[in-house]
Amino acid sequence: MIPDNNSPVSDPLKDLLNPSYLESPPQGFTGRVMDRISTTSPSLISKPVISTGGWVFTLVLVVMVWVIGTHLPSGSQIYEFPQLSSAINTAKSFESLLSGSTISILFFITTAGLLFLLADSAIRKRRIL
Amino acid sequence: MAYRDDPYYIERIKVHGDNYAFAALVNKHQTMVYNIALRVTRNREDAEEVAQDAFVKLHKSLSEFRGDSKFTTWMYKITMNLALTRIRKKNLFDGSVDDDHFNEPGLDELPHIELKEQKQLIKTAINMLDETDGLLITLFYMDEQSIDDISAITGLSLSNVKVRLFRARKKLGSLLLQQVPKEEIMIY
Repeated sequence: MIPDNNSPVSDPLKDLLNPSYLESPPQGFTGRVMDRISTTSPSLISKPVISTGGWVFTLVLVVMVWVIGTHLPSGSQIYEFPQLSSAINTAKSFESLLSGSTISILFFITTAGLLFLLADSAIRKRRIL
Repeated sequence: MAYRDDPYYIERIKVHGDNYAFAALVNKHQTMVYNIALRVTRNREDAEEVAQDAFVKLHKSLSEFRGDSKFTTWMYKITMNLALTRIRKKNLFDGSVDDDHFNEPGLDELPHIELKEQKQLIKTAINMLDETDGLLITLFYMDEQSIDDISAITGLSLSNVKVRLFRARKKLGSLLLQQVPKEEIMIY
């Protein structure tokens, strides 16, 4: 009866009717829709707390602190980069102010905090996908 | 303006909350959504309200869209349901549906329309079809939706869509042929 979209049978109405017969919505339609969305509806998604770039930065920071704290002795000299040596030694002098157990507690709290953020981020991402 | 495929915008909206992507989606589909609303409500003001409501609802519930069906099928279905709800409410309060959409020339005026205004004539003929017929013709011919998708959008069975589309097509053809010499519009 009705030729479907793939039918080889020609349907003269198909040539005659086209999207130009559709009426355009009034001017500024999209703007009005966007206004309504921004004023009446809440944000579509809850963005994850930390983006991918944020996680890379945090990871680099954690590894850097760990390397400085555990692998470099106080008073290290990197002759090619005197500014770096100075920064490392400053960090080490702060570290020496704290006892070993305090550092462990701080490390534990930081790790727990990061794990919490990671879980929160993952849950939010799962909710929006 | 050339638009990307819908999934591109949908992903940007879902993952990044990108409102520009949603605006692009509105721009891309506004005409068809508005026309579906217009076919059902038969009133321009109502059609705009319904089309706006449809996009707002779409924005709110986009996270629920899993991609099991075509995005347009889902969107048109939302539009149609909102339009039907609106005319039902109107019927409840007014007892009638506004007909200002049909303030265009009626069939009795068509002989006075010159052939160069063929476009207007066809528009008028489509507007003279009833809501469902007009909607089916719009979806099938102007948006190239498949019978399956039209069935999903309208809630009519496949065979019902085919039969109604066949009748609507015949009705539209005869409306046009009544007014225009065969050699001018080659429909049959």
